Amino acid sequence: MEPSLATLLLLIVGAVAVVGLVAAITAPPSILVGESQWEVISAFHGMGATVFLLGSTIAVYLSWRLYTGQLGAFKDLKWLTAFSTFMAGVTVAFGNWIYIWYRGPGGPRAFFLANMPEVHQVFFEFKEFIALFTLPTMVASTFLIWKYGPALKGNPELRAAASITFLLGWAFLLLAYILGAAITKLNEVG
Amino acid sequence: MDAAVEMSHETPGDVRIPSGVAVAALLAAVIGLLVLGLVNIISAIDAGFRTAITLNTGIGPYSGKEVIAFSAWLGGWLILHVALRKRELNMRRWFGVFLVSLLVAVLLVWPPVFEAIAELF
Repeated sequence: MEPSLATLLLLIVGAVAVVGLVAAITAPPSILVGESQWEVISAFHGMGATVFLLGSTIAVYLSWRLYTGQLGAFKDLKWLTAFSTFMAGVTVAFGNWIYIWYRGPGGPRAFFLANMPEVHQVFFEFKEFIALFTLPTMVASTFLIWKYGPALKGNPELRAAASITFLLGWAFLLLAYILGAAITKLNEVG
Repeated sequence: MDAAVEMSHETPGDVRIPSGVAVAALLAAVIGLLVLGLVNIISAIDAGFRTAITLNTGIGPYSGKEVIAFSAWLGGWLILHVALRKRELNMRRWFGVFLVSLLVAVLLVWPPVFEAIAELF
């Protein structure tokens, strides 16, 4: 059974609202987000990535249904992949912005190079590139889904190309998300 | 024409879309990512190139790497789309090419790999 688009939207908005509500009542925004410019940008980057992860995870499930030829809610998949692609662009843009702080004087790069060089040289360098992989893969997958439309359902090879490419984009997002969270944990935005 | 050629894919409006359109989109994406890997390796080898692609001092050479990779992706897509949009191609074969190329692109941005390649020069 597949949920309707309205149910999916309600689920995403509800999940974000619950997280926001819990955060808002347990920590004042100035403590939760911070007051410096970089803390605010970092918060948008992290929240954008989280919303991206939520939406694209549901889209991955629908992509799997497409792959197996059992997808009924094609319209839901179309809009969720488009949303994921949009969020990939937004998250990359905020990632570029916060990267200025990362490389700046007294930023985490200097800290990591002095104390844990492998964190910068392996994990951060890989993260900054693998995060970019989400955009072309999700754009390509979304393009296929929109361009061919429901005709995809009748072509196993084409629907495999669309769904597996989306799954790979999601895997790249997951890698970047985990590495980003780990880096923030090791040296918080100040 | 290839023996394993697929049928065209009909959209609801009965407009047939050849598989070349899909192949162009997938190949362009992976070309952009392969270019990202190559530009990153050249940047690790050549300090002059690294300086030349520093389009923004805030994010350093990463700015040029992004611009070059995304230009290769979108420019490549335009060219491939025009070249392949009316062709029926073997989707299975070209999707395999896409997957293998994507794996190579991932390896090219994995620091132990790209640093080892850079050290050869």
